[in-house]
Amino acid sequence: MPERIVIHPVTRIEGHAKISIYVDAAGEVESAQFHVTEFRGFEKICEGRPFHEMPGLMSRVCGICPVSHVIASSKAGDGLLGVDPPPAAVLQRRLLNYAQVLQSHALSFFHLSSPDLLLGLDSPPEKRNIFGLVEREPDFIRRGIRLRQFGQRVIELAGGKRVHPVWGAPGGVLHPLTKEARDEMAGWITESIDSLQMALGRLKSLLDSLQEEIQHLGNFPSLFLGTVTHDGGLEYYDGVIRIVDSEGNIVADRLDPQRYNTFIEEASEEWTYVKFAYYKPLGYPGGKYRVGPLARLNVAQHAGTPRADREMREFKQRSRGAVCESFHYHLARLIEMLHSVERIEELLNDPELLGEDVRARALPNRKEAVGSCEAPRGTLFHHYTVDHDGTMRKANLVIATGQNNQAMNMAVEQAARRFVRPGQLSEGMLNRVEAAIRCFDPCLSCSTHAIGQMPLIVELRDRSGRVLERIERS
Amino acid sequence: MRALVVAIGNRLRADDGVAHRVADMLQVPRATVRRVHQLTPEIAAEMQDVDTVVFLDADPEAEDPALERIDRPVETSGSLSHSMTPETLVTMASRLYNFHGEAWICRLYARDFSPSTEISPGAASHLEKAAQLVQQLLEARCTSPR
Repeated sequence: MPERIVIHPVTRIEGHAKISIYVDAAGEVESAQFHVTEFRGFEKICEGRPFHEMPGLMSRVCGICPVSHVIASSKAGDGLLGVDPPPAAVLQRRLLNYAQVLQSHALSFFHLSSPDLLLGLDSPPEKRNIFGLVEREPDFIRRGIRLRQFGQRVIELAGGKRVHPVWGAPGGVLHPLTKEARDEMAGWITESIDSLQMALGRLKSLLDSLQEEIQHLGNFPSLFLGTVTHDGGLEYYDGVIRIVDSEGNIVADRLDPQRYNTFIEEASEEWTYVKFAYYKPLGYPGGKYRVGPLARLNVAQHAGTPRADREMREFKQRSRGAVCESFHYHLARLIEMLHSVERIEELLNDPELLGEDVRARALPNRKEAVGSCEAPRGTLFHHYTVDHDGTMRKANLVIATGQNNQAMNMAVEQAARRFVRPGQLSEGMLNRVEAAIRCFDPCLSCSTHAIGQMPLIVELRDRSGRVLERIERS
Repeated sequence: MRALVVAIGNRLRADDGVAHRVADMLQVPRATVRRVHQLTPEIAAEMQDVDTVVFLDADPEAEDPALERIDRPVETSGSLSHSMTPETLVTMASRLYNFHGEAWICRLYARDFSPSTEISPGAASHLEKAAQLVQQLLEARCTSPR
């Protein structure tokens, strides 16, 4: 009899989701779906509000990556005004985006995924969490906490608050950065680099023992999309879009983020609130692509900072083409954290960072604009349309988690086919399916703006909905 | 002696912001006040240099404000921040950062959690007493040598 296994909600991710695994009459996994089950509809809230309110409002989309939303929103505001922000404002925006990449990746790697990596995917679930790491790996977790603190402190010193900073604005940012704040930030650099090199060494030392997971938690060909500098370097604030295929060939290059809707389209499915972005020329679902740390390292040719460049060269040797194993999102995340700290150090040494002129002012000069940047989880687009007086008519947010949605569903299905044994369900099997999702570090608050609770209920059902087997984790 | 006050809540959700309001009323020079939406592991790191930590939190079942001592570390099995409690944070601070100071929680009267920057009259009527209680505790701890 055909059956369905439901993992609901998925744990140790940001937001609320469930996974359905369909089992055929022969008792084999047939397919799987990653459902996002909550909806807030932030775009609708924007309509009718003045566009200059958007950075403050968008800061509330997400508690993990608010800075990226503020930056994309502020850049869309720059476009509506038709101005270029002063250099000090651009440097501040860059600084905070790196800080956010650092703190968000620290949360994902150290707090959410390290329990699987260091304690084992089959370790008891009541211990397989940050508290288990406190017991077993106190130095490791202290370093993770410090790294996240550093990123948050940079955001707080410049943006006024660690979460939901009201700091960006159309035309620039609200306040200049003080010398005292800059000097305090600089005090964290050496320790942070040391911690990241430790973590990179530790993760790389574990990879041999994780080959089964590396090969089967989302290892498949796809396109990869990310922002690069004009010479193909890693870039998070400004630049052009590049798309490569799984062989590492450049499929499209120097795409203008302002024209994202000429190469990205979104499809929807009735069973999830997250849309499915795809590369328009290849259609849906053939145009599936991945964004975020793995994609950025695949599309970029170099990092542009010495330590990250060394790591990136080694990373790229893991494949003759693009690195297609989603498990390596974790490694890519750590390399990006190292790169971010190096870039933060560079920015802190730039005298223009403390410039007093941080905002260009104008009345609205355009009725439509797009702001984009690289958020921790991938490329982010904010597309605004306004009235003649600057009242928002429409907002469209294209979020990283939506762009990874096809890939996440494929990863879940691949993991389920490999690890799930219907009729003999174990927590470790299902944790591997969840771990496939955690590779992508989805932010469901961003993509649907949900507020999630995260217990876990797993149900094995037949197609009529009858529960055949159930595991519950509070 | 140094103290840390952690006020938990959201000022945009009516009474959920009462902890932040009580924190605004405190005047203790040697206390650091942190206003947060939720508890995260980073707060444990901030507890390593203090002798007293006081958590302020809106509670739909609280009546008159009172201070409760968090006596012993508890065993923890929660996954992370969405379910992190003052007790688990104290446990984490004691194990990771050798925190052996006093930990207190003041549960604050809260009934209305609808979207609003205003708090209910019931919640407002308890603010002053809560602030006095916490202020007295902090004054006693921050003026006496350990």
